[in-house]
Amino acid sequence: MESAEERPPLVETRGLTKRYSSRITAVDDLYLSVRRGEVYGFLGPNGAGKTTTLRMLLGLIRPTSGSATVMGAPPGSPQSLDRVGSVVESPAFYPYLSGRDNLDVVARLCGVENPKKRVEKALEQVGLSGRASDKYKKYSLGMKQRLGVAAALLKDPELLILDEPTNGLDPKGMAEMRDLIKQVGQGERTVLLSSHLMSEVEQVCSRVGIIRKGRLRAEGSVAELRGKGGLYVKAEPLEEAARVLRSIEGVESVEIKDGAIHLITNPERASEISAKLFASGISVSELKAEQRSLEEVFLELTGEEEEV
Amino acid sequence: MGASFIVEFKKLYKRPATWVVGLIFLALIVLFSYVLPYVVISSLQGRANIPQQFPPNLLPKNFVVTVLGQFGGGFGSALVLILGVLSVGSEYSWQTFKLALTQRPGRLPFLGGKLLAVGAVLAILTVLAFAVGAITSYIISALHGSSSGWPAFGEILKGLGAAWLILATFAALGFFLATLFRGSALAIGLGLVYTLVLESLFLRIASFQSETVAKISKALPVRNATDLASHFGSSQQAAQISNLPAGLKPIAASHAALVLIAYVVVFLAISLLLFRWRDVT
Repeated sequence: MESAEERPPLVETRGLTKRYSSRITAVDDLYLSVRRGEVYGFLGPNGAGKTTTLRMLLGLIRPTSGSATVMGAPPGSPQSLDRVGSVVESPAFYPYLSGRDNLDVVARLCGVENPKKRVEKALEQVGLSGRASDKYKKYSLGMKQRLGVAAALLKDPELLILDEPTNGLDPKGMAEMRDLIKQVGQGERTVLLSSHLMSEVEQVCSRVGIIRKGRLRAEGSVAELRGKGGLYVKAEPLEEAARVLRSIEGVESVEIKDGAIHLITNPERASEISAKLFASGISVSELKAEQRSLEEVFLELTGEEEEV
Repeated sequence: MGASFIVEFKKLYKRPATWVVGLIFLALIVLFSYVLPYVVISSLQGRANIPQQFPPNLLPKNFVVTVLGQFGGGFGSALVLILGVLSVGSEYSWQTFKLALTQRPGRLPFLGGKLLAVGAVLAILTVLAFAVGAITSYIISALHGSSSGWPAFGEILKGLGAAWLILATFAALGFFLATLFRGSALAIGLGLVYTLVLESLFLRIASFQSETVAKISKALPVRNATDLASHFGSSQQAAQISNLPAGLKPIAASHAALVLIAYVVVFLAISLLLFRWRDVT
């Protein structure tokens, strides 16, 4: 059986570019691939080109150059849209229709079989059955977001594209939305989630692409992007401790900085390393696991001047 | 396109604005074509210097031309222009195009379904306007004890066709303006200024014996709509409906119908092209 890496990606872009004028390039030569079954986090500061990219993947915006395939077909084609559910930016519905009627409109447009049954199931999935008869304009922001996800789920899509789904939600709403994303992203379904919130991406995504000024700066799993783990050691005498640590097998680097030692090794070896230092007559006052946060990686790649 | 048509018709049917525009149109037909003239005539009865003949416009046999008088040169054109604008413009302000276009149909079938649905609503509105006119004229003639003869069935059918074409022209203008400006406010504003003010100003200039201006005026939508409507009555009624400045003669019905059809085709074709090629942002 083919692994996810071996199967063709569900979303693939090759040099995708969107230029609005000679001065404004929203997306610049973007190469991106989203594999089947993963929850892919598309991370970037505001204005980095995330939404423009997602709109191009849905056929709402035409690229200036480059190409993309979504579900093996051109973006926006019926073959592609057939199996893709999406919420781009804020959810948009008809304010004078009820939540149920809005979903009925979507279900009929996407031609699902037995639309009434599908609508009720989607409402149940997002916990809106009790308010389904209320007009959309009376919904809170959280309910609107959940209705957006329900609409995206109507097709039972293989690929779900969600653009900043927790934008504007209070902490409770954000937690509920994350749970919902985890729930709908289970099994074979692939989720492409754009966000500028590190914690959200860390909690939800299996792989991450970081975009800045329209270009992909890094791509990999959260662990890969955070890099190798290490240990932080405060010991006396410092130089002697560093010498002992360098002699231990499996320690990749030892660096003295600000009166402490930073070493790259598996953080689970903390007790073994402590014992070796103690056996060498070195007194250890502090020893803890150390790893770069995704936020540090993000700031490093996108520049600290960017608004996050 | 079938699914789009059903969805769009449901949206128009459930939208309060559709009902508001439709009911105002019907109410204004009753009020300005029948009730107010009847009240005025009734209050003037018995005065020595006022002719005592019952106005023919209020009789059932003339209801087609009386109702049609409110389509082109009346408020019908302005009201359906608003309806045409709202059917597209609101989708821009609610950002619901991105919802519809990320489903299955594709841009042209989606917009085609929308056009058919607006056309169907206009057809219903036309039939209702004729029914309301017929019923009101019957009641008034019964109250006055006048003849209650009806126009020929063929005349009613031709009138329905002309009325729908007039409404379709101005709804298409609204549709085009909303697509062009990607919103409702500017489209409604400019559309109403043109329909209610600009063209009549132009016709006043045309009346100053300028042959060129008179020729251009023969291609204008409001004039063609009013002149088409005027062909369903007597010459006296035609003059009342056309309300043309001195020196201008009504355009032939076939010419007026062709000009209006051309406007519908051009407005919709440009709208489809714009919608097909523009990004949805």
